Amino acid sequence: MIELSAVEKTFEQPGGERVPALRGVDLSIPAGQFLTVIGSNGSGKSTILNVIAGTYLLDAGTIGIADSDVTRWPEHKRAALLGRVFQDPFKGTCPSMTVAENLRMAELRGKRRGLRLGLDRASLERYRAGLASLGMRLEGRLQASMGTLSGGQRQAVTLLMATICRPMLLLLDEHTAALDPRAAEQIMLVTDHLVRTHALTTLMVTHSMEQAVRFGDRTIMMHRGMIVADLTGDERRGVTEADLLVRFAELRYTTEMRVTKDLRIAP
Amino acid sequence: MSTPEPATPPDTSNTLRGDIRRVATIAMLAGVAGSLALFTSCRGSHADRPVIGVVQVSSLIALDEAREGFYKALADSGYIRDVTVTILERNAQGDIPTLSLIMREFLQQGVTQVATMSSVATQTAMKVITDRPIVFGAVANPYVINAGTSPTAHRPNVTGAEIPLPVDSALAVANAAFPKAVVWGTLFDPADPFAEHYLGVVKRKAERLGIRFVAVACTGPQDIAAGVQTLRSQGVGGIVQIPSIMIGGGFPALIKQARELGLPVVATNSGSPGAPLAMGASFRDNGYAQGLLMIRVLRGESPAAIPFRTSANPQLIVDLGAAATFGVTIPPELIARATQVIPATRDSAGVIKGTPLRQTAARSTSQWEFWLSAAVLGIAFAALAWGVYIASRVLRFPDITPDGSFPLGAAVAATLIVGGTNPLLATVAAFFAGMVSGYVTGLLHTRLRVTELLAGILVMTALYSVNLHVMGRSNISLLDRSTVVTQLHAIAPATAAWPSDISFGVVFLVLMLVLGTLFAWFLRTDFGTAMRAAGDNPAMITAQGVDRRGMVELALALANGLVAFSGALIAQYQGFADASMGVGTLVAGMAAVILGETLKPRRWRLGATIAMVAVGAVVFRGLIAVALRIGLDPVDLKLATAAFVLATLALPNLGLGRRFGMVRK
Repeated sequence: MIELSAVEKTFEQPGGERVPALRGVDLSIPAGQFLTVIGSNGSGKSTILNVIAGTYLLDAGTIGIADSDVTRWPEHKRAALLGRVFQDPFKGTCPSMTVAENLRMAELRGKRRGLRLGLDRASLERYRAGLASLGMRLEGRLQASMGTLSGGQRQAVTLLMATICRPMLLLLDEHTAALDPRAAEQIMLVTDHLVRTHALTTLMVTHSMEQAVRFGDRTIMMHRGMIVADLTGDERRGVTEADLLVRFAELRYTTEMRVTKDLRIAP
Repeated sequence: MSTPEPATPPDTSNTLRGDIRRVATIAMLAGVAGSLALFTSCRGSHADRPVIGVVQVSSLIALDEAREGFYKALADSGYIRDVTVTILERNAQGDIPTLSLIMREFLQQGVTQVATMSSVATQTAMKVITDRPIVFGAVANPYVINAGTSPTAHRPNVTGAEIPLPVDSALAVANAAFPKAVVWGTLFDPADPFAEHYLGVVKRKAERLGIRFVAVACTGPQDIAAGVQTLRSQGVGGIVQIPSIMIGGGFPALIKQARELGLPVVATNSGSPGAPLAMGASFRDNGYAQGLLMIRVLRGESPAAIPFRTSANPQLIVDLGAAATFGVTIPPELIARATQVIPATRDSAGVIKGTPLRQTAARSTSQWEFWLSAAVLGIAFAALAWGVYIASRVLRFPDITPDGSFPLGAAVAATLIVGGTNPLLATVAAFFAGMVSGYVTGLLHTRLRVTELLAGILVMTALYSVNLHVMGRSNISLLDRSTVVTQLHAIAPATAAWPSDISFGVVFLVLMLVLGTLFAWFLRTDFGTAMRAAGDNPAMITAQGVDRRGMVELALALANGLVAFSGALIAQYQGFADASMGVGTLVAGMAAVILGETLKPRRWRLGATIAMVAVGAVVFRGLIAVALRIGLDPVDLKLATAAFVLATLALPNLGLGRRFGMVRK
């Protein structure tokens, strides 16, 4: 269960201009839900993910994960509750280390890192099985240096790392955006498989309307720092990519009006 | 695959602790700033008593002695510091431009007389201060610096005591004591402004005596051992060491190496312990003479009416104890001529036991001994290379602290050893002292957001003063003190008969094997892996729940602990710790890391990389030894060093590297 209430975040541009990124967002994600987030550039969809992860601290509002109020927690402390996959395939793993070392680091997320050699036979066997479950023939690359893997392979390993110890929330930040279409499709299937098998609460930010409706069981649309549409259940079923685009245009028009009126910000 | 239970939320006191730490750090800095301000404001009122500004250019052992002599003279005549006379003591710490500032500060503080130690300090004083007396000391030739044209015709506000450093008489003494030696030599520092002058004097004397005199350049204390070996290879029968700023601090190293090779040493001032013969004057006596002149000024005499005086006639000092350790006999007629004869005491008997005697006659330096000493130095530098490797490669943090933490390690170890601590424990303590310094650099960067380079520069600069405080002076001699090698002799008495380089080599090798194994193991543990990741990918390690700032602090602590460990070993090997021995540390460390990485085959893993970085340290010392050996113009030594490193870096990029299996990281 994830609770965001009245969340506000404004960024200051280098010129001193203040750009509101989130304006009083309320969002509740029940346990086990797979939520997809869409929106245009600057809509606040990545910001919402980053404030949950703790990359930015809030100006106002609160964030709760499970039973903890994490609003003031630093990023590394929240990480214990979260699994994250970044848009940049280079960001989620350490290129100079082996696949096994990367997985070991992920397995200790939120736990004590002691002075012992963590990679024993049992853990290697565990990782091999995990890699095999991805269905990408990575199980033989356990001792390969991460830097020798392709972008798609890295994202797959990052996904495994994010889910290796069950997170309270899986955060996916346009994690297929930097991949070619074939690899992107493969990673989405792996994602869906992992989320379903472990029944993970998931928040996926995406730029693809197609992904947004095809995967997950709830979709929110963001615009100018607000949630402008929230689709679940019957309403969401049967919605096509084209419907979404039309709806997006409509909503955008109406909110533009509302924002202009309420906040007196020039369109 | 996944563990069913949710991750436990970490405790909330973490942020609080961070806040407390930040506040404490800021409070500490504020405290320091406050006390400095208080300290400065307290100077100001000096009642009616005379205020003497005492200034020296740097913390050299000779200048410190001169200053002590000066104070002794004042005290002996009833001038008691802070009771009947106020002393403002200043030291430019080697930074000559600071001297001008000091002089202006003196004027501002209302100083009534100025006492200068060294030529540069006197020169700066004469330039700035013309309306009140200047009394100089530790000046070899006041006429060269335009203080006057003769002892009586000089600047009206200047007088002082010149110190005789008769290098020609020293050579004559050497020749009389060891008539069989037809070639004598010295080490000289090409950067020393007076080196050329002394070389000229001693070479002219050599011509008259019909003997040959050679000089080998040294640009740093760590080159002294190699320099002495080079002298030996040029066939010298002994060393007449000319006065030199750099050699002054490293004199124990010179003595140690010369003793190993059976080369008698004749010193040119009396403040150079360990030489069988010294021909010259003592800086302490010179300071005393300077003090006596100052008293005349204080009692109302005009400096214009006080002639320059030579502090003492050159003295011949015979140290029979030292002679015994060298295994040489001083002719009785020379002993009869000596002003002072230091008898062989029980102490020096201990020395004889501790340092194996070598019979000089049949001995010559063989090639392998020269290379061995380069290798031993290289091995001791391995920990330094590892430290630099952690900071620059693992953490990717441009850390400059090593230039301060290396001498810190030396200072802590030397101080503890002189105080009677077990040398091995002292070396370990040096490691921890280094860790503290690295931790502070980390704190400055992570908590106070000081940039990486600046944080290192600040700590390195502060460490210069810290090191002086630790040692209580600029230089501590470890000559004939127990070292880690003494421990080896204690465990295995048979090893006492080995040449000292072999003993040091064995001990260093064992220490480095242990340390290197621990280090490689540490980096592969769960904690060490996270530390590597903190440098490799900050975003990733944060997403894995690790506070990167804490990792940066600990990694820098570890890095500088290793650097200080090297410093502690080098101090024991070269026989002294010196405040200035940090210069160039970082370059040596970086060169070792780059060499190690270049020599390493592509597919090698962590453990092998660590081993190759250590090999890189040895290769680097080897390259410097080659440069010394091929008779490269000594002035070009540092240029050659830079060229080696550049070549190593450039080779793979020129397409030649691949052919040799070299890879650039």
